[in-house]
Amino acid sequence: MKYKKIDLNDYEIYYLNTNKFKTIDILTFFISDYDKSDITKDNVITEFLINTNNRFKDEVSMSKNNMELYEPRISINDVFTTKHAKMIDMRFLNEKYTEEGMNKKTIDFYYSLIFDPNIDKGGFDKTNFDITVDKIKSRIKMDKEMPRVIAFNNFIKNIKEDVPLKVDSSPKLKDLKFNRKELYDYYKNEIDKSKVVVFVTGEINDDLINVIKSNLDKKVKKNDYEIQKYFDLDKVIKAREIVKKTDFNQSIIYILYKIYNMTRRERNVILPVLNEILGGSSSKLFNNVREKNSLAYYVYSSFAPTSSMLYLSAGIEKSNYKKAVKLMKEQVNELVNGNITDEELNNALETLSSSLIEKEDSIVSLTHDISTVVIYDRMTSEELLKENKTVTKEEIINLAKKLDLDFVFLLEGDK
Amino acid sequence: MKTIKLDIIDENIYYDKLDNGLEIYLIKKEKFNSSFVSFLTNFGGLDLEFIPINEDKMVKMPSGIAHFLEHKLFEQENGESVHDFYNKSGAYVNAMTGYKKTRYIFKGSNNFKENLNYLLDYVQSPYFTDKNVEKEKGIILEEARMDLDNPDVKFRETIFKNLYTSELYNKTIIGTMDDIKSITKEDLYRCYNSFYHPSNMVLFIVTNEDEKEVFNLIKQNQNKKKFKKDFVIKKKEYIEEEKVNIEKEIIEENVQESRVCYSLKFKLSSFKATKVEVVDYLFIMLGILVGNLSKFNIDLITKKIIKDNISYSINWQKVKNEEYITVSIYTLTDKYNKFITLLEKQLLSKNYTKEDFDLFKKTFKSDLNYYFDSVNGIMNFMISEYDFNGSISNETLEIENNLNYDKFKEIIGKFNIKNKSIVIMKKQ
Repeated sequence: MKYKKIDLNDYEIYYLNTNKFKTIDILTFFISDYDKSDITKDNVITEFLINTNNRFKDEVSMSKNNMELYEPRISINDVFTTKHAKMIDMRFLNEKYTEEGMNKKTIDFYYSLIFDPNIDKGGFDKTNFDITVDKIKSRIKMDKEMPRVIAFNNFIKNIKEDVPLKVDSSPKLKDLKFNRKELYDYYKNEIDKSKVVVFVTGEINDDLINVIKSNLDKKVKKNDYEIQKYFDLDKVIKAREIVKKTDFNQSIIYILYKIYNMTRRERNVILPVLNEILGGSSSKLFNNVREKNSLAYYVYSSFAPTSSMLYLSAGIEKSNYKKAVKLMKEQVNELVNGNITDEELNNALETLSSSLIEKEDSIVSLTHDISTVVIYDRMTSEELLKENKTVTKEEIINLAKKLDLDFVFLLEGDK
Repeated sequence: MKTIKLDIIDENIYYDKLDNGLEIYLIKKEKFNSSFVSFLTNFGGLDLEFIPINEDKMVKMPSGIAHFLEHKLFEQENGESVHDFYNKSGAYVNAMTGYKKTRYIFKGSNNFKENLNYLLDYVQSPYFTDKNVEKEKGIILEEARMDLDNPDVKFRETIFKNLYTSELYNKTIIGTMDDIKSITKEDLYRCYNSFYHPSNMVLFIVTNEDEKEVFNLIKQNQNKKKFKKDFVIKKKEYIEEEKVNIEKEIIEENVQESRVCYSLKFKLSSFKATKVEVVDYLFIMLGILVGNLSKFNIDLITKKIIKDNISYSINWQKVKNEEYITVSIYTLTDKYNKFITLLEKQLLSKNYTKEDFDLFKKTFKSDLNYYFDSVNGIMNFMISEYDFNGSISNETLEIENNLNYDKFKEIIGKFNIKNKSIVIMKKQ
């Protein structure tokens, strides 16, 4: 599917015109620099923006308005890599399924969340600011109930390099040290210095584009940021083992590998295939750690292409730790030694190709897909489908040889 | 094959019931690349006591057996893994077990007919051995261990256990560690043979394939197999009292925030209305009184009586000839007594308006349109309609589309808080 680009002075719009869906999806990116100590501020802002705005100053009137607009599905997420991207997504029913004029009303409302937030006397509205901060505090506490969240956050703390994978994007109690005015000033500055890119999918016409433009013109400035596409890493001197004890029932393992000197093809095409063979649905990890040896209910691998890293994870019983780690490492060695069957390779390619084709059935996936191409320089689904057809075992083996074990982390359940 | 027309959103569902009793619902969507199939059996975590087929005495199975059986059906006699088969065409495969149902699913963009045939074949070809049963225990014990670390799982199980006086909810879906370890292949075969008959199963399909061809494929597949005629399921008939089991329980748990669930239990017949009407009107009432249209929620947060938004759910359970409706309202708080007092006052307040009611009516049709915008959404629609009604029909949607304020007041007028059960999970 081909997206069209509208290059305006101060921002960009990418749109895909399709009548496949009953909904329209708009995803607006605000990209800017950030400091890690500001991550908590962005978490609070995200929670604040979605619940009220300057016209609907409490959650009840906001909810009523949402229902009047036939309940658009709105979400705001923050992604922290080398830059901060605040992504505001809205999926809403095309007005031909609701009533005339709804498209404009809904898009106007969507942008009012960003440009017309709930403010009072030079800062975010006090009542709602206080409510938001209390909710965030509660959620920070609730995260401590979740062993998988604790395990992941402790795992990434042990990464030495300053790569995107290391960034802990959750809010911190210690960073909740700002008032509503300081936060509003921070937000205004962030919008002011952001690069703005808009992605739209659905039945698009000039009227719809003009509504988007009317909401952005003169409200955003041209800013340019280069998002680092990849990181080169220092060699591992000595692999580490880190253990953190807890009083949970289950233990959780993470094993981190660095990957050196990947080509663009390796990063975009070969690495996903390697990951699927190693840790996908019917993979070496699944078949050997879970099915043959019954050591885990979940075991998988995942990769962070920009960070040039791959990691494995499993939830196990404490007494099986050494056995599980040994088996997990053995599966990586199988790749290095070229023990990849034709079936494994073909299955991985089919699975990846299938998921690329299925993305076209989801309007949100389509929109997000093009955003990763534009913002993070990933390949398009069409390119990937074509490239997948030429992947060879040798390429996977060569990439596997670039994996270097950095550390094993265990969140030990001691209950 | 018949066509069920969903007039409200101008969609069609194709339906058939085969001679062996298998029901099939199919929605055709040519614009989507992928197909999604769910093969459901009406057998879940609650179904532990029954008379096995070809036997005459009631048995009690170890808890977790339905979930264990779900895991084991992925094992084939020829040694081929179900995951490996589906991976060849890049399809996604999975299964899930609930309190009342188990579902086997696949989703993919090619090889639909082969994949559908395979789904029917592997689910209908149980193969349990002492060795493969023993092997699975380690995996399921790890899954159970994962649940032990999730306080909300225990919270939910306690809520249901305390609502029902019969032993119906006195068990967990995954089972206790001891029960999991005790399961044998004989147990699995007894359960399989007693519940996995086509007359107790349903196929839900979303596809771009020709519906006639799909129905023919299923018929041909089923005609090759022999199934017991006059199949009858004999489950234990529990005796359920109208009153809740336990009115208040405080559990101390290693949680960061205390939480409370306030539940009410009703006999459906007490409302003198259909289940569709009662559940829909109750949802609207809760949305207006304690949900997103209610100042009550925000007031309590502002006054720091609660720490996050109030959420709520409605469930239903048929026991013998009576259907029970339960309403559960949850929040995070350590001021639970104060919260409960204020909540009860609000629930009895009748602070609803026609204006608020009409807002819910407005979104009913748009919700359906959201469902039908994706393959996953359509499958979710079919599963939730079937779960609620035991079938999918236009009549149900028509009732929902014609909800009115006068009937709302009449039905909600019968709402009361006499039969309540409170569960508090307190920080240690």
